Amino acid sequence: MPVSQADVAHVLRRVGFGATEAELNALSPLSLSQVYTKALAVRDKSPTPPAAVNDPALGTQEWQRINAMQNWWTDRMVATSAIDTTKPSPLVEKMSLFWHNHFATSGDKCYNGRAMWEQNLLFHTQGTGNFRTLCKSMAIGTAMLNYLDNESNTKSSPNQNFARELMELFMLGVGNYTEADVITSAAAWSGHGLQYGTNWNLTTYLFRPELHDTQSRTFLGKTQVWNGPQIIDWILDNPATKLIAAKFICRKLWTWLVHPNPADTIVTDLANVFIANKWAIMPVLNAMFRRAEFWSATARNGLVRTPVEYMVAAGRGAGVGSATIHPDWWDAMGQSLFYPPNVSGWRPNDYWISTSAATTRADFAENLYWQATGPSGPLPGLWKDIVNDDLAPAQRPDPTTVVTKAFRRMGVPNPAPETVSALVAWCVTNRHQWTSAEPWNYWGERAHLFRLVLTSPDMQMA
Amino acid sequence: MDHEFSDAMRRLSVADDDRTAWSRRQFLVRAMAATGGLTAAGMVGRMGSAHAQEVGGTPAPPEAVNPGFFSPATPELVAPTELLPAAPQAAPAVGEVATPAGQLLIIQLGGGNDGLNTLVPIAGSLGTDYRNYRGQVAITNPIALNDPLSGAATGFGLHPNLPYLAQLYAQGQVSIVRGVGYAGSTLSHFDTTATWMAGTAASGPSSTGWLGRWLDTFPAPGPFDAIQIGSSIPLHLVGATRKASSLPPYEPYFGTSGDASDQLAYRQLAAAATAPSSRGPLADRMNAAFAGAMRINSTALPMYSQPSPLGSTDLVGGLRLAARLFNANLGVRVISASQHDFDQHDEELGTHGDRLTVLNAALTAFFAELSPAQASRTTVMTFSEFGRKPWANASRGTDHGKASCLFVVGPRAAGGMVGDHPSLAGLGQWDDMEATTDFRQVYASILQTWLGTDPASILGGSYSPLPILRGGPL
Repeated sequence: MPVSQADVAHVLRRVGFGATEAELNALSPLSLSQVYTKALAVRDKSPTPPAAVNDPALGTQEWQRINAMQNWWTDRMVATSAIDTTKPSPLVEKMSLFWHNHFATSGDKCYNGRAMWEQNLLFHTQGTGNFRTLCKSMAIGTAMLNYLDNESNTKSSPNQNFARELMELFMLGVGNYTEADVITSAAAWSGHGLQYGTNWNLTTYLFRPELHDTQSRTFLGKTQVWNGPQIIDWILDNPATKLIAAKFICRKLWTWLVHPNPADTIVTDLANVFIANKWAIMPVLNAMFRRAEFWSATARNGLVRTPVEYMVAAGRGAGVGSATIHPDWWDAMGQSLFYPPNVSGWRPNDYWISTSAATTRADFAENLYWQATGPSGPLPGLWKDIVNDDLAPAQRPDPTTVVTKAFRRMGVPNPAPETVSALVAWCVTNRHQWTSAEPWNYWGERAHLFRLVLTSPDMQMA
Repeated sequence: MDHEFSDAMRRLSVADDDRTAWSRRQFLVRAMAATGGLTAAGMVGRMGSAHAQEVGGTPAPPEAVNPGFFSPATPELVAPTELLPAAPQAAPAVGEVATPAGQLLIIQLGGGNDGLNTLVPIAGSLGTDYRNYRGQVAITNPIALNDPLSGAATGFGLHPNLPYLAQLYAQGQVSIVRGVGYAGSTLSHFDTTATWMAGTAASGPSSTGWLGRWLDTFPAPGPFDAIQIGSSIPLHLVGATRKASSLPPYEPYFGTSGDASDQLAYRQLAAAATAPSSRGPLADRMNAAFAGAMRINSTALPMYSQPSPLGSTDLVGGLRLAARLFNANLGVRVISASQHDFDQHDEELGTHGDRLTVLNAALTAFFAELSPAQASRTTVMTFSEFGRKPWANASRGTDHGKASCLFVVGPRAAGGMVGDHPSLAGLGQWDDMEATTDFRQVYASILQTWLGTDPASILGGSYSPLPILRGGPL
């Protein structure tokens, strides 16, 4: 039995960054099982970096490397496809973004494009892989060693920054460990630092045994001499903490990708899948997106798009990438890739409901339209196939058709009746207002329609 | 193609703007520096009519073409701002004398302001140690400060680029809190900034800020209660259930266009924001935020150009806008603005001096713009996440330190020095000036005396207030 276009759109908003019209057309005749198979397909996990990352001519101009990476990642997310296997996988990009937010590091402190790239590559290769491997690789990457100061954590001068956040933000959640555990964790990670190369941005991980604490200590109930990676292993293997860790991650996945405040039964079920599969991430995602609760009204109406999700969806619907979406809009909108605000990352969901967010989204939509259709824009005829506003109003398609087509183009096949009637009313009045005596205003329907669709509440929903 | 349009297009054009040569910070700086508020975001809207001319080849009408249709008297055409409840006005109870609500302007000096080169020790061993440690990075010509009451020398001076602040100090309108900070600072920008903004007795990351938690207590919240001048809301203005509105430092476009078709579209959006829909509560809140943005933007728009253009989009323009927002009696209680780049690890003297010049100019512009009727209910405070090391480093800059100083400015400031200056005696190269005053004591005083709320419930602990204000708002 084919699925509805609304269902296809819901899956692709959560697995990726929203459906294109082509995806709606191609996937809606399929069975739900076939849709899942295509939407959750994983491929292209070892992308080639943008040239700037390894361009020696940039010297230590790391912001240029990171700028290039912002453009590169924008284009990858815009290009994702559930139907074209030559394009990046929606799920790989979405999970890379999820882990970038979970293991947050920022180019503001780690001013090192190569290190930020290496970490992003890890999120691509392991983001749908294994959580244990992901944690261990993340811990000894330059970006994290620098961002949370473990590079200066030594046995004589412990720095608890990473050791604490590993438990608090990355693996267990606050309240599930003691201060004594933090002390042991810091001791275990002491000596895990960096070797700086000929340039300060050429860094490699280096373990210095002479700076490593070898005193026997207790961590989460077990006493021994600890080394950093064993901390991760024991959190995941300890009968007293592994369910806590699994639930911590599953709760966050559900909160970010389905809806906030999941019932404990959902979280526990998924956590048991996580543990049974030895911390493989895909089985959890497969179970999560296939649960009945994923199709509930709570889930369908439960998430607001983050700025990245919004801008990428806008780019996909309009058919433009980073050359048209100026990357500095990331900053203006409050979610600049590679620059999360602090170690706890960006905040989810309704944090992004504010007047400033609304203003920047509206101004962005306006800017995007003019960037795309202006004299040097790539798409002067954007949406002209939906409504050719060079024609007199009487010769244009009827407003309901125009509005419905415009939403579908943006990956929203099921705009709310309230939204459609508001926009149709606008369209009717606008056309009525402009008589043939003022032909100069005919053109405006496309531009206004584009902004109205992009500022509609339906377009803000993830 | 008319000149304005071609200029706008030139700036908009990806091919021409050489954006790969811009850092994200430079982009914002340049966008904000564009004349007349024509920025990447702001300029696009203006292109509507120009583009129409280009396409249609006919001049656009100067005004809405159908005045009758847009007459405010027509009920369905009420401006979008009026579709929303008005900002609440607290009415005094019968027999009670209305006390004006205190207004706070809070200025973040991001990056760690060098307290020692801002409030410069001159006299005694403190002055000697300072000059010793700083060497070439010492300020040699500070503006000496005398006690505003007794006229006696304080032994301290202000950076020479802060003459306006020195003048206000002499008038008893500046309290300088010395040695402010907190025990256990990590010297990390994000960590210490988050700590300052959270303003809580609890340790560890906080998802709310001190002024945000105060906003949470408002019984009848309004869109103008707190405003950030900038593109995103800093933690100190984020509560558990509320957060500040914000206005961009450049002229906002959304909701402000006089174009008739724009207005029609805006009304349609705002009208759809008034009733629950089948989209669910989150979508409805988002829709209401768009309507709120239209209201705030359209209310504030004239302030970007009246009585004169803001002149700049840096702190000077931002504070001029802040003064106009206070003057407009919209019920604004807090305005927040930020200036960054105080993190001067090398060649500090010139760059740090430039930042203070901007601060001095911004404060001058603010008080020049502020209506006399608003002055005695308005107080300004600065903060920075940390100070610098007392010793200069090898590249004539200073590294991250601990305690710094902050200013509380306005007619109701107590005036004078508050708190002890930390000792500098016998400090080694990597030693820090430890805080003598906890920053939460400043917050406690502001919350209690100026904002009229119980500080302990906001801060999650009791902090002794400081004598930084002579009393509440008048």
